[in-house]
Formats: sequence, structure tokens, C-alpha cells
Amino acid sequence: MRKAVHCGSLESERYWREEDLAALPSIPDARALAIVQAMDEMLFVFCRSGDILLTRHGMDQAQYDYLQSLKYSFKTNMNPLILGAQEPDTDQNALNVFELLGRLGPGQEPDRLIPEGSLLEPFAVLPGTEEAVRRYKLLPGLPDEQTVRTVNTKTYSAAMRDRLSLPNIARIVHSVEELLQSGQELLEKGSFLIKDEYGVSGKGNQLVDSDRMLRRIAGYLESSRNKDKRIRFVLEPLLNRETDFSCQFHIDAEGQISILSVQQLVNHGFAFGESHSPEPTLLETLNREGYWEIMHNIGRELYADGYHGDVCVDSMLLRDGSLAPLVEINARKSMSLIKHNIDRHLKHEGMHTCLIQVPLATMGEVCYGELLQRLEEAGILFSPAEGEGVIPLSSGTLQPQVPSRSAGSAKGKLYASLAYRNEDRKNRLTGKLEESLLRNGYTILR
Amino acid sequence: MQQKVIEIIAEIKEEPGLLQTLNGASDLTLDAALDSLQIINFILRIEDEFDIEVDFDTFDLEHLKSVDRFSAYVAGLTVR
Repeated sequence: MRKAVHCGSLESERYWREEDLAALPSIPDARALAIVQAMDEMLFVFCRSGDILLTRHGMDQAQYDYLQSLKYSFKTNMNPLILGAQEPDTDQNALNVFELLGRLGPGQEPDRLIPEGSLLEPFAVLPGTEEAVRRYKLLPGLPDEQTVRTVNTKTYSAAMRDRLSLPNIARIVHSVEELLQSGQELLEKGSFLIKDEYGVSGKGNQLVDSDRMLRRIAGYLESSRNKDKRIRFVLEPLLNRETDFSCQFHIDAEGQISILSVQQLVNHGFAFGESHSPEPTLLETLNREGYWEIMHNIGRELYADGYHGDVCVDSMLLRDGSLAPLVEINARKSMSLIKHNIDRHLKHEGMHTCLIQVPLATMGEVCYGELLQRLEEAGILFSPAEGEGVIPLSSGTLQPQVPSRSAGSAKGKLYASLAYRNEDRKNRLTGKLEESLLRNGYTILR
Repeated sequence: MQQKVIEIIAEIKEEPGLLQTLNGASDLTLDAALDSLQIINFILRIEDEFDIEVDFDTFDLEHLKSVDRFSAYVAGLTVR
């Protein structure tokens, strides 16, 4: 079987965003970016035996050894991908991983790891992906970058609701005047969201609950920061959500659509919190409401527009019992697909799984290998023999590399999968996990 | 001002318990664990409360190192 190269930047929307689009208020946070950039390690879950995983910072040896013990058999770079002296003025962190690969000097680890004629399995198609395909003589066949950009916009998702005759609550605004007018109309009925074309959970979705806030945002869009920039936002009334969930499906190069999974999400505010398998009652609702047909229809339209590959559609069940099947289309892999692939790998009867994230802070250097050892000593590190426990999914996100970090504490995140027989066991695992993190010198941020 | 800042943090986090646990030395991103989206909402609420305008593009995250530092930053904007 042909080898695949797995690689990607999970902050895809950052690279799709056009420079001339006006932006909502945000504060640059190098530490948050560093965490997301280190999340590419989690793409090991897509590796089949003999595949190659390329990551921006290189994987910790202890994590690599642990994953091999779980029968994840892949090759990976152990050192960071670093531009050499030939690119002295380039800010590495501004580049996505494909742009980085494309500019690496000859003779680096990827040259040795990537077999010619391999298949590229990106997290998402980004600027620079095609160049990387050419440089490493990988197989062509990915969708066009501009198509991928387009189908990942919020306006595309909103238009798709009309194309499929689904209820559409979105209003698209192209000027500050339209924002103020539509915003004031929406505020008469309650709070609403302003969605950036490439907003993601935790960034780019601004909740507006007062006229003053609306005017402040409008003022920001008129400020010098946004001078001469295109205004294009989607406004939507804040839905009274009961349950967030998402559907993962794949469209192959011939347009064949395969539904892979549904994952239920527990979000903290608008940010990703925990992902777990759906409750039977949710699946019954989806069967009853013709949800799968809607997903197939979305897939067919995406294919007609030139996209194939992985898709994650965000959906919601509302408090009044109604379904919002299409909240947003993400034409890429996703955290929920990562969760699904771990489930496939574990394949234990009667075992539940969930994917969690634990925000952390540390004061000094922390050894990742020691954390794995501590989890093992606490009896909670997952092993195939036990079939239950915690699987840490990335080493680099716990203490990510931040350029010119000031002294003091550093922020990180633990991403982990939990496999457990029942809720009591899950509570025991999370309790012991938190205890182990604290003992290893981490502070848990809530 | 310090108390008002803490009240707004507790409101944004939807955690009344923070009224007891936070003090002038508390770090807004570590002790209060405000994430990037919450920071924006927090600043917008602060602007509303103290009738000031924060320059998002030049805002330094160092101002969030403690409630006292942030309060001093806001006080500096109110006297302009």
C-alpha cells in the first residue's frame, strides 16, 4: 500500500483569511498560537502502519515510544522544522507547516522521511500545500486551494442553507451601515453573533448583547486598523442551544460520500471543551429528522463546487427540540475526526471514550516523559492490556515554544483521550489525572 | 476600581466564586483563566463600565498580569 504523509496546521482559518478582510477586535496572543501550532502532533491518529507524520516542532521521544507501544506504527521527525540561514528575515511562526516545508533547506529530516510518490494527507489544504506536493514529489489530487478557502467561509455555509431549502437565520452584511441596521433589528429580539468569514470557536465570533457594544464594534470596523478593508460578516441570532454536535464525513475523488461519525461536544463558552460519542436519544432524533440525507446533500453540493476530502459539519439541537443541522461547514479534518479515529483504533467492546483538553500553566521546565511516568505510576496511563485509561495525544502543547517568552509562567494544554467503562471510572480517571498534573508542576486553569 | 474589575471577571466567567478567590495580585489569564474571546468581552465590558476606549491593536497582554496592573492601566485611560 502507498505510504501517506500526514501533516497540517490546525489553525487553518488563520491562513485562509484574506488580508483585505476587515477584522473584529482581537488581541494577538503568541502563547495561544504556540499551543495550536503544536497540536499537529495529534495527526498521528490518522497514520496507518509505515506512514509518515511531520510536525512543526518534532515529537518528544517519550511520546513517540508511548504511541508505538499502542501499536501506532509511523515515522516522524524528532527535531523542529527550522528555516536555515538562507531565510534570515522570515518569521517562522507566520508560516503554516506547508510553507515551512517548502522553504526548508536541502538535507533536512523531511527529505529523508518522505518517500517519493507518497500520498499527502493534510489536515486541510492551505496556501503552500501544492508547492510542498511538488517539492517532495508527492501524488497530486488535492482540491484546489481557492475552492477550499471558499467552501470554508461562513457566507458559503449560510448560502448552503438556502441551496438545500433549510431554515436560514443568517444575514450577511457588507458595510458598517448594514451591520448597524441589521444589528439593531436583531437586538430587538435578543443577543446575536457577528461571525467572521473564517472565525473559529474561541476567535472570530463576537457576541453582541447591547446597542453600545454594537456601536463599539462598528467604530472598530471604521478605525484605521480596518481602513479600506472589505466588510463581510454573517450575523445570526444567538440560538438557544441544548446540544452541540458535529458530523464527520468523507467525499472521495469520485464524489462518493461516506458518513464516518457524529460526535457530541461540550463547549466552554464558544471554545472547544470535550468531545464524546453521541447519546442514543440524539441519534434517534437525527434518524427521525432526516439528518443523514442533509449531510449527503451538503456533500454532493461541496463536490459539485470542486471539493473532495474530509468534512466536519457543526450542528445543534435546540432547547425547543428543533434541529439546526447546518451551523457551519468545515471542509477539513477536525478534532472530532481525531476522536473518531482514536475510537476506531481502540475498538474495545463496552468501552466509552471522550477527548478532553485541560488548560495548564507551568512555572519552570517540565519533562514530558516524567508526566507519562507519573500517569503510569498512578495506574491511569492507557495500555492495550488494561483497555482503560488516559492517552495523552500531544507532548508539545503542554509547554509550547513561544518566541521571546517573558520570564514567569507559561501556558499550555493537555489534549487527551479517555477510555472508561462507566461514569464512575471516568471521574476516577479525571481526578487522578488532575492530581498527577499538579504533582508534576502544572497548574490547572479553569 | 479593583473590586469592579473582579466583579466583571466573575460575570464574564459566569463564576461567582471568583469574587472570593481573586484579589489585586491575581493574574487575569492564569488565576482567572480568561481565554482570548473572554478577554475581548471583558475589555468591552470594562470600556462600557468606565467609559473608556481601549486600543486593541496596541494592547499589551502584560496589562493582564494582575488585577492591580490592569486597574492602573484603566485608571490611566480614564484621566486622559
